Amino acid sequence: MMRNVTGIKASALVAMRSQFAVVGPVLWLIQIFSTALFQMWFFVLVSDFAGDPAAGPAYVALGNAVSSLTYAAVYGVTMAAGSEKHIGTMASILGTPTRMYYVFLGKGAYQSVIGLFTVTVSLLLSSWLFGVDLSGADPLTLATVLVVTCFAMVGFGMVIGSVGVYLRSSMVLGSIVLYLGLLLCGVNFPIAYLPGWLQPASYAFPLTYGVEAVRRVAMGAGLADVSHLLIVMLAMGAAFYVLAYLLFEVFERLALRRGSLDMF
Amino acid sequence: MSDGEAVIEAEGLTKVYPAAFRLFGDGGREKLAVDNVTFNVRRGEIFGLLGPNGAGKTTTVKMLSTLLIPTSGKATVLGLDVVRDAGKLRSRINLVSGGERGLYFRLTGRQNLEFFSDMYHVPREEKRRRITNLLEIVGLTEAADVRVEEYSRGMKQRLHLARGLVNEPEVLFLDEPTLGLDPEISRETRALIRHLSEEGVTILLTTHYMFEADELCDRLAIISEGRIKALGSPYSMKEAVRNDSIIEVEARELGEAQRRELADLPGVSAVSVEHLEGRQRARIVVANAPGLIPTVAAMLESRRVISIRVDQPTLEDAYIKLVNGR
Repeated sequence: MMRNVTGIKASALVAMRSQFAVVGPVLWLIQIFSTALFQMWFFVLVSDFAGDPAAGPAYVALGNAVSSLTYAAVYGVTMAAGSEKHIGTMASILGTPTRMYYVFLGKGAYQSVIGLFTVTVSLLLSSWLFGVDLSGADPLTLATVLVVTCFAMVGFGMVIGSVGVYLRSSMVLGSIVLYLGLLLCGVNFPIAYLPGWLQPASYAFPLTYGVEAVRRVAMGAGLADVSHLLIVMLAMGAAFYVLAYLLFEVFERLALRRGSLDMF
Repeated sequence: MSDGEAVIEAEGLTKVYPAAFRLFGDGGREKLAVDNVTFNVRRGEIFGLLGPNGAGKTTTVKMLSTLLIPTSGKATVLGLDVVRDAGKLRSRINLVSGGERGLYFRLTGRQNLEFFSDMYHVPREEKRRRITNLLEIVGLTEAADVRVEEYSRGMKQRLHLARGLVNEPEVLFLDEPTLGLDPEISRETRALIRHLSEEGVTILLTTHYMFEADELCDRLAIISEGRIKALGSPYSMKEAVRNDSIIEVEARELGEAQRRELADLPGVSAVSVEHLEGRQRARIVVANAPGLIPTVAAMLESRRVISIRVDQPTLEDAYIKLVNGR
């Protein structure tokens, strides 16, 4: 057990060192602030143009603030698989006694920290610039909802990322999921606006529950009021981590059979 | 060295790469990379797999180091099955591949070694001592805290070697360890390999450099088209051409057609053509060199011959004869 923890910590450390070797803290902060701001601004203007009172600027800004978690928690973890293949470290890691699953868990842990920071910045910007009213939100409840959402989304990212051990297409999947999140998860408009046949798909994404829970907390709901959403996300998250573990085993085996570890 | 117990045993090892799955277009055909290979390596030995590019050397090493599942056959390393016991085996072996990839280039050399030490579960107090020692052995102490992206190719290769030693492996697989290195770094790398062998590490290395195999290996297998063509000590390999002699021809217009014509001459068992700057050098393995020189000279009259001479056979000639010969 302790050995796996060492693997997770080492992997998280490598992810952090690799990131900050490219961009310094100031540039990184500029990136976080600007991407959060521009995404919200874009969709706020679109909603303003559309003029639908059910999906006004504050509604859209809050949805996009929460969905900013996707970049780190899903896309970041998925990208990691492609990156390991690209630089050729995946085979070296697989040749060690540490299972690939724990290496990705470390990357997921690092991306969780980044994701939670990003969503906090996004929420502050949404409140400051786009009229999102967070005055009724209990900070502890809000923090709990964000942590649980992040937990479930990193699990989701691990499931997608596991494909990258075998195939080169995990980054493509990551991009698809990123934009599906904007479409399906109630970020920019209520799910009821989707065609009826598409609406059930929304509930396969943890972001849907996270966005809904944050909206309710912003309107003053307490922990008990959103507990059913949190339970769903915790259950989904746990299922994703178990599924990811199994998929990493399966895809590792397939990669070892096909010899695709070095293909990038 | 040759009396030790076998720590690597490959029996009928075969690898067929399946055809790639493609949603659109042709995924290609399946490819037989290693075909029924059987050999063993004894404890403390330096064993070489020698062969041309695409011969199946790397595939064999990957199967033995648990990074590729054989299609059929069986292999054990340190008594552990490379498929069934891969998890247990990985802490006791390591693989070093040549080239630029396989390192975190945004991290320093030391940080790379720290990461891989953690992957091998090296205890924290031992990790620091071991990394310091390894950096010194591979001559990277001064560059330890420089990012790998600033390393030269030789420095990266030395860091690869250090990475391969972080878990103090009992068996070390080296895949083309000196590929692309300058002569001085290659020499240092070979000295390090010898040092490791003296320390008791069993080494299986792949190379297509004849002199490297000759200099380092206690025994070697010549592999071509996935099959072992010959197995023995470098000395015994040279014995294969002991009764032969060599006609070496340098000319300006030697091509594949001439190589084939020379190979068809009576008494010729193998011909290799090396392309040099502005000229080619053919080495003809033949039972009676002086007797064949007039025929060769006549045959190549129009090919702008620079020189023809008789030479002693080398391991390279043995290799050519064993891989391509009749």
